[in-house]
Amino acid sequence: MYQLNLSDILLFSAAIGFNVETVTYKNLKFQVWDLGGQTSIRPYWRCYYSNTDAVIYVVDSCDRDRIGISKSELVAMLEEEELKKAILVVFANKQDMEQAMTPTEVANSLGLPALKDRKWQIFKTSATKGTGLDEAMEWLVESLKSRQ
Amino acid sequence: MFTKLKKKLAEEAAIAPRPGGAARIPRSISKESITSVGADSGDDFASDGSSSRDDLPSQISRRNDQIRRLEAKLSDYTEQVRNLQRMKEKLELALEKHQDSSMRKLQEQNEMYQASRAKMAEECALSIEKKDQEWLVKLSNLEEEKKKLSEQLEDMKQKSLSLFQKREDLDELEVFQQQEMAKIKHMLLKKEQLLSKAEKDLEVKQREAETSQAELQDSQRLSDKLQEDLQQLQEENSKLAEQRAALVASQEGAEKKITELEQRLQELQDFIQRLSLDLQKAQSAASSSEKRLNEIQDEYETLKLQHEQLKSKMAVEGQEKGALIIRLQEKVRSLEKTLEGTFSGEEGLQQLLKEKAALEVRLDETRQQLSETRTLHAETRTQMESQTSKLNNRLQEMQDLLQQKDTELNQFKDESSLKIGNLEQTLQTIREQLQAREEELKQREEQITTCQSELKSERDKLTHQLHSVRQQHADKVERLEAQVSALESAREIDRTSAQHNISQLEQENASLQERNKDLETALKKLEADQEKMKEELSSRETVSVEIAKALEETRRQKEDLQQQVADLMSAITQNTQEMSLKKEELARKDEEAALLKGDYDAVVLKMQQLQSDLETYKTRAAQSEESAEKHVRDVTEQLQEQREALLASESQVSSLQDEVSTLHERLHGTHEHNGEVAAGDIALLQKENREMEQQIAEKNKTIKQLQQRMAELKKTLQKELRLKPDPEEKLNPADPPAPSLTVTNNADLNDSREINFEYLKHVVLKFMSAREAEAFHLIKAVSVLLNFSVEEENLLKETLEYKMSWFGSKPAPKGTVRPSISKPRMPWT
Ligand SMILES: Nc1nc2c(ncn2[C@@H]2O[C@H](COP(=O)(O)OP(=O)(O)OP(=O)(O)O)[C@@H](O)[C@H]2O)c(=O)[nH]1
Ligand SMILES: [Mg+2]
Repeated sequence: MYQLNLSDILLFSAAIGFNVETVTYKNLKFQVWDLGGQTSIRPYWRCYYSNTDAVIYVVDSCDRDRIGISKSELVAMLEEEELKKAILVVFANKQDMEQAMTPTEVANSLGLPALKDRKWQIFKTSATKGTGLDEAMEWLVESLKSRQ
Repeated sequence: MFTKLKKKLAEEAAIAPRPGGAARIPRSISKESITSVGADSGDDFASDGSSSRDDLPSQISRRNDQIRRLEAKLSDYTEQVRNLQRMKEKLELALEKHQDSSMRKLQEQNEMYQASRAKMAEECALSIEKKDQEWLVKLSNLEEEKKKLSEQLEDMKQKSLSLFQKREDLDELEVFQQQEMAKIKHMLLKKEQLLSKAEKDLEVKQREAETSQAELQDSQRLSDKLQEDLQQLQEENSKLAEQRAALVASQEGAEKKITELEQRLQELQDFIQRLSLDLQKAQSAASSSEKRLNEIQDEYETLKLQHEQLKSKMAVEGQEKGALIIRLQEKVRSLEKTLEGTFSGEEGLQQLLKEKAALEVRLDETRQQLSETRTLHAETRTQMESQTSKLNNRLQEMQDLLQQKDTELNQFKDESSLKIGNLEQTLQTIREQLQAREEELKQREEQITTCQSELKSERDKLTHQLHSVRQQHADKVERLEAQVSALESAREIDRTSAQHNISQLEQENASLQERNKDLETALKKLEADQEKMKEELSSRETVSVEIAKALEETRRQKEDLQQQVADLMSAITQNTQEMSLKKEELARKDEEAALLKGDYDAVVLKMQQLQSDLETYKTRAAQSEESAEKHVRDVTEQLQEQREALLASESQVSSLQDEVSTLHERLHGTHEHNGEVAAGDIALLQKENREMEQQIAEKNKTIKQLQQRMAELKKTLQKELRLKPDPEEKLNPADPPAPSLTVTNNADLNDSREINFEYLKHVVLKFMSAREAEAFHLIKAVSVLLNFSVEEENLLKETLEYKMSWFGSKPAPKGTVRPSISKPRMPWT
């Protein structure tokens, strides 16, 4: 059920904007905000930062050209005071594609190993096939529970 | 719209190299393409723009080239438009054809439909005739059934016979009822017997009541006796009271006696006091007499002393006189001796004799005196002695008197003490008697009180007993009466209930009979109805089956027709949709053409404006240059004139000075007057000279200012000439910029605004549709997108919190925070 929901969210193709979904996984209730990644609406991400426990950053593993922009956006986001304590989960998405970068490549490109004072983890996922989402959510639930 | 077109063009260009890319990629590429298009068009300009403004004509020529290119494009577009129009005409023709064919088809189908309808009507008429025939058959059947029903009627008669039997049964029931009535009567009799028993009981109870009344009377007698006793006791009490009064009287008498005695005692005491007073007086008198005695004795002693003194004096005097006499005798002797011895002279002797005689006289006299004093003394002594004796007598008398009085007093004291003792004894005895009497009285009183209390208690007890007995009796009587009444009421109730039962049974009987009759009639009716209904049902069923069949057939036909109609309609709609699509395309093409034209016009206009601007600038520059040059020329001319004037004046001055010097030389020491005049001329000339020099300086200043202004004008001219190509340079950046957030192209801004509007729409929609918890997170986004102030944002938050909580007050907008539409901060185009 859940996997279906989350992949639905990932595949949700709102032309412009975002989506909100409340998902219960392992007795934990998630309010998931899918913020669009378009350049023009990136400035509005900061409107949703307050009271955030975790950030799921979905990256297109095939897009080698724009992984740099992705990194700078991620770094800018993590500098925000409101997200100081948020757990970071990176989805190296589109792993079903042949030319996709490996998760380690993606992690290095995003500069994740250099992060300090941040609990983070990267997972390889495929939104179209719905793989990798379960492990990622498992990890997130465990880390959230251990935090409390 | 222009930007959209551009975007579209760019997308067409971009899709070619990367077909099937992700949806997001074209978005970013579109921006690049927009900027690159800009770069293409202004490439040459960018290279030349900065070189100089002298090559404007060449620029213009380039512009013209551009324009020509655009014109060529435009002509292409117009051709395209023409082609499209041709296509449109063709399509319209095709459409008309299609419409004609469809109309024809429709008409055919209509005809078909009407034909089928006519057929249907005929079929219906036939079927109706058939049904009429069937109905006739059914009528005959019904008549047969009628006969059957008459047979059934006979059956019913038989049933009525059975009913008669039932009536007989009913009679039997009545008999039963009567039996029951008899039973009830029996029960009634039993009840009456019971009643009689109860009456007997009542009588017994009444007897008991009588006996109890007798007892009551006895007790009343007893109480009378007790009352008599009470009276006796009261009499005794009164006697005792009398005795008590007597005793009290005697007590009073005794008390009177006591008071009298006390009075006497007091009198006696007074007497004693008086006596004691007398005694005291006597004692005082005695003391006074003693005092007098003492005084007298003192006097006596003093007198004695005087006497002794006198005695001693007298003795002394006697001694002295004796001495004197002795001496005188001695003298007399001596003298006599001398006389004897001397005898010489008679005279001397005579004198001596004389003297002796005188002395003897004198001695006699002194002896006389002495005797006199001795007598006097004796007299006084006797007097004194008599006095003392008298006093002693008096003293003794006084002492006697005193003694007497003392004795008297003692006697009196004894007497009075005796008397007092007696009196006191009598008093005590009287008191004792009194006390005894009083004690007796008290005892008596106590006895009386005890007697009275006993009496009261006895009386109370008796009255209580009497009351209780009376109450018991009354209760008993009441109970008995209540029992009697209850029994009577029970009897009556029984009777009424029995009567009620009887009447009810009779009523039931009647109702049963009625119901029986009703049931019979209802049965008949129902049976008749049932049969009728059965007949109707069967006939109806057959009819309805036939009708249903006919209906189904017509339905099928109708459905077929509807399907045909729907098919036709869908075909028509498809055609119309196609038409509309074509029209839309045409319209879009038209719009594009119009846009292109508009753009071309705008560009041409811009060009014209720029050219005109250039010309104006040139003319202005030329004008300003000319004016400046004119000015400069004028100024220089003026300067030269001035200089000439100056030179002339200087020469004048020098000549004048020469003249002055010559005049000085000439007029040296001759005419002072003339000299003074020449000096005034010189001063005037010098003044003129100074003024001229000042004027020259001012002129020089103005020249400088004019030159500065000229330079400024030149600068501004140059600036303007340089500035004019600048905006074009900005529009055409030489290097293609990387797609970033900071790209602020006009087109991009428009695009972003559109996206923002979409985004805003989406956010607001979510905000309004989402749950409060989610909406709360969206407040910030909404306020950022709509440029809310902090107060407005807070107001939103407060209202949401108010909605989320069960209680609390709705926050009112305070101060200037008022969601107003009148002054939007950011209008969305
Ligand atoms: N092959 C493959 N395609 C994917 C996968 N995930 C997403 N896509 C495709 O990527 C395209 C974009 O997906 P979206 O989910 O709209 O991307 P997004 O990040 O939500 O886009 P924004 O909301 O604009 O930020 C769609 O065509 C998806 O089918 C994946 O795991 N594998
Ligand atoms: Mg999305």
